[in-house]
Amino acid sequence: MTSKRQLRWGVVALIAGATALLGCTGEDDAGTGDLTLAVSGGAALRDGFPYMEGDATFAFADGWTLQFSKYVVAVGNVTVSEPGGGPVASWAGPAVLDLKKGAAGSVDLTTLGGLPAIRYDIGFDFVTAAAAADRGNLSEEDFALMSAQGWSFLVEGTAVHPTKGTVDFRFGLPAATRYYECVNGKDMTQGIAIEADKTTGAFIYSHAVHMFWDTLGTGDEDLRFDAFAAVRGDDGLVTEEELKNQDLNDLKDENGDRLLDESGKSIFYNDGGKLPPGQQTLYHFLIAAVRSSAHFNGIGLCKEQVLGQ
Amino acid sequence: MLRNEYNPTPQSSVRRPTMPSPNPKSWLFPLMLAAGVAAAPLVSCESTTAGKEVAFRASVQGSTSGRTPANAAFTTYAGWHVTLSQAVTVMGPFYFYEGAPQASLLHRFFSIPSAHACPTHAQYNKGAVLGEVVQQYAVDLLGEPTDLGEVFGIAGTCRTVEVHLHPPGEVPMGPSPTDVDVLGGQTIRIEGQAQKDGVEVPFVAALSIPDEGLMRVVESIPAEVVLDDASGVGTLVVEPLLDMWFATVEFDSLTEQDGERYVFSDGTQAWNALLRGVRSRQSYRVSWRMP
Repeated sequence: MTSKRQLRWGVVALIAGATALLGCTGEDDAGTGDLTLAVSGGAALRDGFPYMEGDATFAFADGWTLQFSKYVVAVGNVTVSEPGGGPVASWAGPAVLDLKKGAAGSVDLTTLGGLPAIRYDIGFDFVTAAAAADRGNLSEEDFALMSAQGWSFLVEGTAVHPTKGTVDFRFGLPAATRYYECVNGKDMTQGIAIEADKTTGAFIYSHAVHMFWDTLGTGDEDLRFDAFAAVRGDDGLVTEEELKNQDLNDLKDENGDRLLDESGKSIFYNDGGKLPPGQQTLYHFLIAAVRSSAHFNGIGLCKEQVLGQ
Repeated sequence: MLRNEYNPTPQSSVRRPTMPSPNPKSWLFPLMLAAGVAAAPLVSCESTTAGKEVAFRASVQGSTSGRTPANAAFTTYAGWHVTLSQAVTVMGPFYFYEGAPQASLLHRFFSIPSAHACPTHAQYNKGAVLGEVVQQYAVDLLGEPTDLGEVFGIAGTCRTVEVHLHPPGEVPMGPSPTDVDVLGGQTIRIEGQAQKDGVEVPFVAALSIPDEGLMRVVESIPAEVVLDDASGVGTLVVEPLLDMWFATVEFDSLTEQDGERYVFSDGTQAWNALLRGVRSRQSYRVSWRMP
């Protein structure tokens, strides 16, 4: 038989344990809600350069203006997980999305319904377009090209300089990457809280401004296009192939001379010590830049793991 | 790593009350007790880690990626056969972090996941500082290890190291047998001979890193060094890899001369490539060395 005293202590222990569990994971009885996700390229995609974000103006230091005409990204493997646990909901996708075609540079991705109303970790992948089941809002030609080349990004646009003329660009970039344990850019907490009986909106941010910063590290970054324009082909177009010829250690202008900034000083693209020998070109810099462009719900940072290399 | 993994003492955040002796015939009591105890570690919703104080020595010694002495000849990524006659620098402060490396391309070499920072956004979280050397030291990269003294820190696994590369005198300088005056106020001075395809280039590279942003900080150098109670018997060694410093330098691009030696002029391919090499986290190795 269990004595009354033992029973009393046992009940105390059981209540303490149950209370602890409730405090941690707790809102099991709080109902369910939905999470709807979009993918956005931000104001740079919507407005081109220069553009305003809050009080800050984002403009090229070397005098270029730029407009995107296409900004395609392939997204998949969205996971919603209890912190430290496995996924409780997921969306495999993938989808290829031309964000430029969306209203204000944003395209809806998916809705995950019936989620218990607690806080979750968020993860997602940039994938190769070939993994997508359909071509989404892409042309058949672009989808075939991205699939064949193993690209995750396809970006097109036009840059204009008052004295250097007009340069078109089209970059296809392989940048398959896993992003996880994302910080929420809205409130800088990790993940997102789902509210009961509501649809909580959030967005994956493919922050287009990253493509043209001259640093991958944290520091004195400038937006530049001269190094891109200098390697344009005879057709006036810059593609990923031309970027492979722009050596970061020996940047050249369109005349083959040393590329200088506005003050006559040599331009140095700061890779933050990331690019190994053999990958110190503008092409590899751009791939690293778009990889670091993924955020969650604003500028919330995610942990990152390169996929497929 | 040659030493045992750090195992912090498990802690429970619940004080158990004094219990009467259990009745062997009782089934309800142990069931309830087990349920309560099983839930106890979850009370705080996270584990706790003790921050034990530890002490260890640290040093810097020049080397190469092939682990050959830096004073022997080496061949660079660009195919230059290089022999050095002088390689002096000032290094420091040094920070030893618990956080994992952040570089997205390093997985290719080290098979590690990564997290990232980006310009104008939030800074990458480097994790706890397990130890630090706040002075700078003159280092003969071709000589014996330069002692950075005893470092007092906290126990844990050091996963990244950060090295600062300021010109001499910009931060307090620690004692070193190396004469800092040979640097002539620069951060790095290296003399040697490079040879490739019958072309021989005697050179001198005198370099100070531009004071822009975090250019003078080499962040997120990968490491895997356990710092614990036994650390007093070994040394944490930071090794600049000189073949990696010169990895993509094209010595035949040098045109300006000082006497018989070609100099690394600002903005040249050689200067940019050396700067990129010095700043690369792949140009350093961190290891634990037993006496």
